[in-house]
Amino acid sequence: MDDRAIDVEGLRRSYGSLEAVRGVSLHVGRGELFALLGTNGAGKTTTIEMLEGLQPPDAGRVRIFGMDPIADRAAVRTRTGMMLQSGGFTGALTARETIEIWRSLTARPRSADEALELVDLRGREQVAVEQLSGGERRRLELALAVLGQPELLFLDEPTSGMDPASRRRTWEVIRQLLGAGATVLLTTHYLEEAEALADRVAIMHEGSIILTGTPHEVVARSPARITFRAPAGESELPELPAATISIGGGRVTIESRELQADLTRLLTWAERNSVELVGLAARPASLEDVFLEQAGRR
Amino acid sequence: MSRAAATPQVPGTATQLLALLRMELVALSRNKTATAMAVVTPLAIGFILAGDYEGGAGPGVERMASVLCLVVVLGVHHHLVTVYASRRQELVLKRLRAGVPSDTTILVGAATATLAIFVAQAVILIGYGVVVLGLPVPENPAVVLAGLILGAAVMAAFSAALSAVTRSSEAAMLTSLPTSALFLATPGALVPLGALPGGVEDVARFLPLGPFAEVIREGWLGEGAVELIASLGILAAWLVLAWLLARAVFRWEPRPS
Repeated sequence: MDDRAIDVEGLRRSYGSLEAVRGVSLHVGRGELFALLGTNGAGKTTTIEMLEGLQPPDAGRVRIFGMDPIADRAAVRTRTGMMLQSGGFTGALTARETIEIWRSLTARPRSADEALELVDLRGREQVAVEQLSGGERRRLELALAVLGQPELLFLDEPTSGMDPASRRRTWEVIRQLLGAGATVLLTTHYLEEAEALADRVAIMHEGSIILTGTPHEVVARSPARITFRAPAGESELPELPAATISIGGGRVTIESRELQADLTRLLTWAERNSVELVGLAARPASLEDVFLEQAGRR
Repeated sequence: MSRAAATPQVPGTATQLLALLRMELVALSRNKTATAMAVVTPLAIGFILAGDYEGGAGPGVERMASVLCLVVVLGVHHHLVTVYASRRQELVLKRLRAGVPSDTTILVGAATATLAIFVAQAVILIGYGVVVLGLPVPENPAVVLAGLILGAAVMAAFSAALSAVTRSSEAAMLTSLPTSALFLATPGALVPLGALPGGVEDVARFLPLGPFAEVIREGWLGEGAVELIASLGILAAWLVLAWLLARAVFRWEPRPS
């Protein structure tokens, strides 16, 4: 009936005088991975918790598969999986006991073995949850979130506190679920994670989404960079009408909106003037550049 | 169960409650201090106090009802305030709400282990009364059991409500003090029947542990069918009231710091 998994319009939420979320609208299609990026305090967790139905919005509308996650909680929950930002375990229970108990609280659960295998905790299954490392605990939370093979997965900073190997493992699990047709909404402050996984990203800052699109579109809004060591002597740099040139710390940085044309001019100039461009590098903007630029602008 | 029938892949409420019971029992069994406090201490106090009466079956059963009031206040009311507060602080309640269980299932589930332990303690103490102290075998054990469960449920619901103003399990020592004192000040609980001036007693015996103690006494001795029904009715009314209060004020997450 609806090809949107998540449909959000004008979401607002305040805590006392703090406006945590100031009018967020977003739409996530089925099978998409949507990443909500932002620094701490940007309003990501408040937003995701309103989508999950764990917090009521002060204003605005949330629809998950066309349903209200608070009013239609029972129906929504059988189709969603959630990884909260932290906690929620009874520390004295072992990893396996935790999964076994959650199997009785989950629709269409995987077997405990499969769940432990999936997040690579088979060797640690008899360890009390309070003895697990932070990264292992996050993986256990991931196992609970995907236990029921959900159609829609909410992941609040899924890889925070994980070592690189755990992070890769988590990405693999997320890709597997996407491959099986699941929709994923995740928050992260790792830009690398959003670039690696997301179909679309939204950058949140001070409670609002300030930029949204595919990672490629978002990155294309920011200039590419050409850098090289400042040449010795007083040789003047070439005219680059579409670029901003800055020199600092012995390096020249050219911010270019037309990377290929500017690079050609630069290389032609260097060739004619027999200038060696030491340490020459040219790359498109990364999400990190966009993020810093957007955050710095406000 | 109608919802479970409509979506057969979702575990039924009974399955969910059993899972939550298991969670609480395993957690309790791994914590020696908590086990001692919740399981052993109420029994020890019960054994010490139950034999302290003069006279026959009447005073003996009255004494035992009073002991069970003390056990239900310490073992259920006070203990569950700590359970609800700590499950909230550990974000276990929030985690459960992110899943399939309903709010009612989560609230009841968190209390199941404590309620089961209380009923077991009561059965042991009543058995001790019959076998060791020579009290009569309960005339109407089903009524006694109903009273025990109903009374414990009232205490549990008040614990849930009280946990809303209890920041941590440590704070429960303080917050449950006035409520525990009030419950125990009921005639027939720690205050002997007839000890308060008539007018005060007439009102005070409607406090939850008044009908609780009465159901135990009357069910045990097989007395007063009318009073018995009235007592069960008052207990049920307290349960509804306490439950509505709990649902209105309960906090699922720690306050934002």
